[in-house]
Amino acid sequence: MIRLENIEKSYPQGAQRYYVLRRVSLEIRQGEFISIMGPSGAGKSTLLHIIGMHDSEWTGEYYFGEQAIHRMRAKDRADVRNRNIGFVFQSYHLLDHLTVYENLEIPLSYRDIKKSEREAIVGDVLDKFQIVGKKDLYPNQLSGGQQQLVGVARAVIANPRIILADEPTGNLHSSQGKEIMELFKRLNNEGTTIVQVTHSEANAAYGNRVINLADGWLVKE
Amino acid sequence: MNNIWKDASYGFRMLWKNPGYTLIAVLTLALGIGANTAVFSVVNSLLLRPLPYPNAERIAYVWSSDERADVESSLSPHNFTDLRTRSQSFEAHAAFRYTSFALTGNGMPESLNGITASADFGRVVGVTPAQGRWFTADEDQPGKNRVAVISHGAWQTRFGGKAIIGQNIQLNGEAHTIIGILPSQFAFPNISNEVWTPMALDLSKYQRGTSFLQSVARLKPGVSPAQAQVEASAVGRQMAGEFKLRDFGFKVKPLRRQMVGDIEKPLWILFGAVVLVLLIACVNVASLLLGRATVRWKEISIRAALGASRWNLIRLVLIESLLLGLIGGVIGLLLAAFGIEWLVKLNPDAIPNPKAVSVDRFVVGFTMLMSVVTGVVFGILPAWQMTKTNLSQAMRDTSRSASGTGRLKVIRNGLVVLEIGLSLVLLVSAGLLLKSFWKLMQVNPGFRAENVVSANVSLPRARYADEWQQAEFFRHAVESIRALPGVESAAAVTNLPFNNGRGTTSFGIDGRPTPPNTDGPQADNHEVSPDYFKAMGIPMKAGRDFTEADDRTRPGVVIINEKLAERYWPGENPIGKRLTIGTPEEEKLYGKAVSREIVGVIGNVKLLELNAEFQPELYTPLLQTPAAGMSLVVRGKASAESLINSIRQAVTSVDSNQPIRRPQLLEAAIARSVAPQRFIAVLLAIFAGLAIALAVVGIYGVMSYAVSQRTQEIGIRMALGAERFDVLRMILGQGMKLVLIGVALGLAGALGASRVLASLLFGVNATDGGTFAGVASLLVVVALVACYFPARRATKVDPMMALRCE
Repeated sequence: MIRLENIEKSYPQGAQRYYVLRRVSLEIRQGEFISIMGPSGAGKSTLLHIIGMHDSEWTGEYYFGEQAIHRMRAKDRADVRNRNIGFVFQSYHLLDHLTVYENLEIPLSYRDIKKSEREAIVGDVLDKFQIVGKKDLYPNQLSGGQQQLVGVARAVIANPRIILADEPTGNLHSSQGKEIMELFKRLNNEGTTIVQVTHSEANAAYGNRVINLADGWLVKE
Repeated sequence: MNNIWKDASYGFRMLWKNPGYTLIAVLTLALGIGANTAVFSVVNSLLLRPLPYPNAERIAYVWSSDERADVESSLSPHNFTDLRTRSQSFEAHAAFRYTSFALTGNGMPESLNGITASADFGRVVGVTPAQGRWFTADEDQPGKNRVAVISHGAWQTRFGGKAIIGQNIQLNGEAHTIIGILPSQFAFPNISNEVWTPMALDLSKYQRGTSFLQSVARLKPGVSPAQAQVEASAVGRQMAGEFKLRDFGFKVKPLRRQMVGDIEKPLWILFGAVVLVLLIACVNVASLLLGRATVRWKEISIRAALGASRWNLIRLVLIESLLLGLIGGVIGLLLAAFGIEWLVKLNPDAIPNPKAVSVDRFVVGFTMLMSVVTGVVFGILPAWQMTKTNLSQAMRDTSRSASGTGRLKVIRNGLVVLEIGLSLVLLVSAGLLLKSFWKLMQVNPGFRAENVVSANVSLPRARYADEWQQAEFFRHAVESIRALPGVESAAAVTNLPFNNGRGTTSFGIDGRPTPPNTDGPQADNHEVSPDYFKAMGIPMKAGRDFTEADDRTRPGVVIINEKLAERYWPGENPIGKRLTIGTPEEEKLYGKAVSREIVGVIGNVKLLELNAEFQPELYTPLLQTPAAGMSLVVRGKASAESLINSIRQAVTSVDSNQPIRRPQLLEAAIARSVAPQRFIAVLLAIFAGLAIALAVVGIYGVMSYAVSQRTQEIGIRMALGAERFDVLRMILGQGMKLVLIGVALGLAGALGASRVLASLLFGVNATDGGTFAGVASLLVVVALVACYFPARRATKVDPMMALRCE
């Protein structure tokens, strides 16, 4: 599904360059649940952003299916991203001035989906995540766990093939974290590919593959 | 479309949830847009709205002009007739003059404003009476001209709207047949005159140099005013050679330019000023929006991460700024509606036809367009900057989110510099005009206007056919007024300064023959009763005043002013010298031209404008040179205004059928003459004040934001030993650096702007160092105060709290 070959990312540092990622090659297959682990500064989040096509300043080759992302224009990359990738953030990143319903609707509104169709999709997802009763609440009226639940619901609403999650339970206490990880597991079982960045061995155990990074190098799988 | 409504609804919600920000932004824009709408409505009504005459672009005033000094003046009947005969550019050319008619025979005498015009006047302005007809060329002949056309207003108010065509009314004691009633909306040029009668010029009565006519012409189709001017100038040169007229010419002035007068350039300057104010308001709101960018950066990034394109994001931000612009526009329109009323009340004399100034559909359209443009102008930069998202940052923790802060800070600083610069341009312009106005008000008009009231009296020839009867009337009227309690002195005069015009005459100096077929030297002339100079407070420089003894039985006498004395008797004492005016009227009264001895020299007097040059003047005694139309001049012991009713009664005690017209304080008349200058100076000062207030808000906002961003740094500095004064100096230094850059740019801009203003300035150089330095210093001080409060707040930072908060 995703193939990375010799991905490198660096910043100039005086006359030298500081490498964040070094010659990372990786294949992610459809239906996998991968955890990226490693110490702080190892390049985990950077790798996730490159996979998520948020970051375009790197070298190497990136294939999404048959499409060579490294050769694409920014607009086409955004198109691939919008059609295939959903995101879950550590800090939820719900929009404070929008209700739960409206937060869920945002990704659909940016994909030119008709209003009636959007209503149907949002209704389905509210139902599926059992948050129908909370649809008119604002994020600050929800607990952390509930907010992340909405965050995950928002990530899946456009029916992505892969969900990228950056420390999704980092701001949650353990029981809430567990619920979210079980939700990911369920989504994975339903066919969604998941890639998460985590420091937690327990969370990594929900997945079927762990990638370790150290100083920008892929050290072991 | 659905998404646009969604963005708009979200925008509304965001504005509602941030009432402080919304209020400041909307008020700022409303003030800017309101000021623009108010000034634009004046510009629209005076300069853009079509004139209410058919093919008005083909109507032009034609004046006599001094080719050397580019001064336009009234036409003499001879010159008007010759131009009309010789010119090929005009389809019709009519002479007219404003006059007043005493309407009698229906209770108390009433004074009606009117125009006496040649028959072609109706054709020139393109008016067709609603009832009856306009007068014919045949009725425009001496002895056949006892017909009148009246306005719709006069028909309704004076004659109760009854059938009146063909009926006779008494005007100036003579029966006139009403032959027409004009349409209700007709007015020319701006003033609602009530009566029009045929002029019936009799050329044999006038010298070529006797000028009192205005004229208006309709250009032939396809002839431009410029082409008509070329031809009129050629005719003028031909006539100057033929009749030995010095520097003589004609000036063709399009009707709109004539109606708008001197206010056109000030209006465009004011419009430029309010556009600057709006620009400053835009800069301020853009700065506010950028200030919010830090807060909204997270939201924008999340939207981008969730699939929003750059266009989606720009649209989101722009729709919010458009909403602000439109709300500001609606409130601005309301402010303008009040503002226009205030604008007209502030200076009714500065705006020709103030009643026409209104908010019409065109103005509303302009305001809405301006609101949209404003929304885009102040929104586009923040929208562009805010949507430059770094998506990988969005995925990370919020504490690292403010990556755009540095870039935004530079832009906001730039906006403050721009704002200060623009404000300074306005402040310097206002400063120059205020100083100019102040200098103008310091000009000594040559007389003391305080406690002087004047009133015009126009004697009807039907009852005062005999000239000596006219002189007697005024002698008695002045005597009656003098006897009133509270009157210090009183007199009568023709062509009273700052009243309704000038009158010039040619004259000859005895012993210095005038070349044949020429008119000789020219001077402003006045017929005056004794004590005129005393009543006006005009100093007698040499010789004596007229007395009651200077009547028709005594040798002719004349008083001249210093300007005339210096021009024709430089270095000599003119007392005892002689000159001859020799008007046809004089020849009719005395059977010959009268040689007059100069018995006095008085100080120079400004005639119509304080900023005009002094003109040579000569004065003849009323009892030797009677006149039917004069102004009564009364100096009160205290306030003269209360004397107006007594003056009216004193006049009716002499002739119960004689009304007075336009009673007014002389000070008010002078004030009216500087109304355009005061109008632009006061308004520009207000706009400059608005600009400085906006600039202060802008710099305060930026500095407050800077302090909030540097709290941790300030905490560290204080923990490392910085004193409160060091912090104060650091923050003030940061703010004042921006202010000084803005001041430097503003001074350069003001130098450019002052060139545009130069022609409006009086007694002040366009690069007046004092004004530039004073205004720049004022702005620096005000900006320093605006920076001080955020700086003082910075000194109150608790190092422990600041270090802990990160």
